[in-house]
Amino acid sequence: MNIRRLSASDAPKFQALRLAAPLHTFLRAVE
Amino acid sequence: MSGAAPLSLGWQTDLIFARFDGQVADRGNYLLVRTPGNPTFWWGNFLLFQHAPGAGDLERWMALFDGEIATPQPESRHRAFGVDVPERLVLPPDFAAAGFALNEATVLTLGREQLREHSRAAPAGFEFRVLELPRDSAAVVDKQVAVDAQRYEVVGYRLFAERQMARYAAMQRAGLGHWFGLVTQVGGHAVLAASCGLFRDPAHHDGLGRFQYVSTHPDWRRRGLCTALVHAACRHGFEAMGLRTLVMVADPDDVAIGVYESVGFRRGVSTWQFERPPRASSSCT
Repeated sequence: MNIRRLSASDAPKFQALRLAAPLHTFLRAVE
Repeated sequence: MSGAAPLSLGWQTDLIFARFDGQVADRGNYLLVRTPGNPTFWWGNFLLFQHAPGAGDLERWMALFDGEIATPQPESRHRAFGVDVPERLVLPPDFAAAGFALNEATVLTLGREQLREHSRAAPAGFEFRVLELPRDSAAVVDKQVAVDAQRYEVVGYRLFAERQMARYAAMQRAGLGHWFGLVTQVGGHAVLAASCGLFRDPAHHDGLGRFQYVSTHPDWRRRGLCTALVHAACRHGFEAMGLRTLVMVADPDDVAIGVYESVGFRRGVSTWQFERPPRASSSCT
């Protein structure tokens, strides 16, 4: 069983946990 | 290690990663583990034995390492030997004299029924998220460097961490697992406060998963983030990834092991690692 074979009931919950926008990076913020 | 006992759970799950994009070869009385894509990864490029070192083994093991790893991969300037035995080991004098340290790591396991439901949720202002690799790999690398900068040479460590994240991104694409984070907002930006990976063993059909690099950014410690992250990642492993047993490897002397036990993990056997960092005087071999 892997992520691509999630059951239909699991998928919405999983998708809701995905980070939608990119993370900021600490070092690049300084540059 | 033909005919030898099965590997213990710590080493078995360590090899998930080398088996994915590296090389694991049974040489009869030892396993060769190589990661050509990350030659400076000490514990991705090592020899694994199922007996404690005896008289004459230092010279034999060093010669084997040279032939199997250092010669084909000149960037691999460290020396690393794993030993998979249930008994407690001590560092032999000849290994100590040759510059080796012996590290013990405790292997902890968690079954679905062991997960303590009363463990705390993420503190206010922090959200548990499944990261998207490689998009978020740079943020994870930055955090790893911030966590480990005191222990390693920064430029080399960053390259190592970038190569690790490239591997994890490929494993995510292959459906083997994910990287997770506790994310908070700073100045309107989403930043990573704590993170870890969790990947499944494709050779184990009863749902075996292994955690990777659980860490909290130095700026965000002592507020329960690690507990919340590990608890949420365990739930995700059981509920969304279909895992049944989760494996965590931890320093028995570090405070983090208490965090894992508070979530429900139980201690098992140790893994034993003989390692020698690259020597400054040897420029490339």
